[in-house]
Amino acid sequence: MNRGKMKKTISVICLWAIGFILSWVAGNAYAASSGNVTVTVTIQNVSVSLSATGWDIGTIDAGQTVQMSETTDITVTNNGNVSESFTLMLTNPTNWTAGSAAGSDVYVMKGLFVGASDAPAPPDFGTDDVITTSSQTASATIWGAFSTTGNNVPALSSADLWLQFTAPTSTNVITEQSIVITVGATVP
Amino acid sequence: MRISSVCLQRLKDTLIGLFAVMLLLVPCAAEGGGLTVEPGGLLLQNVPLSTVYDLYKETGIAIKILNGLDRQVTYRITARKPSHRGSEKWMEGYQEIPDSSYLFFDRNNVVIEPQGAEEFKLFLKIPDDPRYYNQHWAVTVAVEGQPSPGEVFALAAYLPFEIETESRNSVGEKPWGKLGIEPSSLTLNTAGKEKIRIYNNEGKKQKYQLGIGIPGKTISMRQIGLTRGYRDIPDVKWIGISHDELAVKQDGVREVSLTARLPDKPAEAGPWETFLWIESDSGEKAFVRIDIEQ
Repeated sequence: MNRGKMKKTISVICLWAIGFILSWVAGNAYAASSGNVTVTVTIQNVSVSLSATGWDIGTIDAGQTVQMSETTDITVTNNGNVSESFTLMLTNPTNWTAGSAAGSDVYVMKGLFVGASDAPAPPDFGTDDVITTSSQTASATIWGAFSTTGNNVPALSSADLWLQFTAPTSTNVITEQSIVITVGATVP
Repeated sequence: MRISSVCLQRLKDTLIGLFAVMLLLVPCAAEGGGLTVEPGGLLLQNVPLSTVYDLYKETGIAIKILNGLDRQVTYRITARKPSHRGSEKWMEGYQEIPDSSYLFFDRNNVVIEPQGAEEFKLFLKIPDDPRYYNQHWAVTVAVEGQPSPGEVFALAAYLPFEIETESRNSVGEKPWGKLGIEPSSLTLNTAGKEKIRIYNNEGKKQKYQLGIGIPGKTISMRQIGLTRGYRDIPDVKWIGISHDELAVKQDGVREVSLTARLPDKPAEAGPWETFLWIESDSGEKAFVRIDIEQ
């Protein structure tokens, strides 16, 4: 190997070594930064409570509509430390399914979040107020018809939940049916 | 007398109609109670790719469920895209996480005694995909009570989490998402200058509005949180920006320069943080964290 060629080979080896060291340093720098996750608690807690956990409708006729009253409505309270919006969804019983209009083995469940002194009349429950098997968040129009709604409820404040139920127009089921309503809290 | 099958069915329907439908939602009104989950929201920043991040091991933070009901309740824990079920809304500037399974737990069902409390642990693993650097994602942790037989109401809490992956420059691949940014976080010194790239992945030409700080018109109630240890910049004019508006062709990328113009003697002490807010004509929103150090 002549002197020129040898010089060139040493230069190439040096460059390769520098490259290797630089990539090793970069790799280790990445490894160091990957352990540097910053965690911030943005909301102390999300909390929701109900004044009661049942609604005894009793026995009603096929196709009949019944709704809660001032004595049976459920007070939903935001016990958290930030504003919350309430969510609603239902789980069907074995033999019936929820719908927007009553039918054979199809029932309708509607809900409204109102103020403590509000008393919704049957027509106040609109098409936006139908509770389905998919969770939805309360807004001014969804489950809302009065000035107090289930949307953006301040910490330690509450809204009253009124339910309206329409039985199936016909059914072969004359046994007790349990419909589960999930009341949730989310942060808007 | 013979009755046709159609007539028989009609008679049956009528009889059923006349019969009372037995709907008994619950035998008796039960006492109420509540559900509390704490913490109710977390922001995780600088999350690395391809490694399992154990929140409890690294920070001592576990998610605590307090069952305020007078009965034992099983709570189901899941991670979800915010649009799936729960909040339907998420903090502006964040995109929905591509796959909610990146967030997982030490258990998915927690049985809690009456008036009791239990904790569960949270883990995070982002796949080793360079497109996932510089991401700002929103994900919902759902804690849903499972009703016992005969019960009407169940309680649920939907916790908003924000995840920011590691910020990197020159990744070599377009960032994931309709509106990509690179890097997603940068530091400016007193008279420093930095560049960020905006990637249009929306499938058509877009015009972007750019500004410093969070615009007041953002509709989400919650605003992007500052990095721990940083204060909000006293004056957004301290940051100069090369473009207020920018058009980027389909699948294109453009650079924007940011310059710090700090006063000689700021009245308040730093370090400060603010945001470069980017909004497309189609409504996509993104932000870059700008940290300012003297």
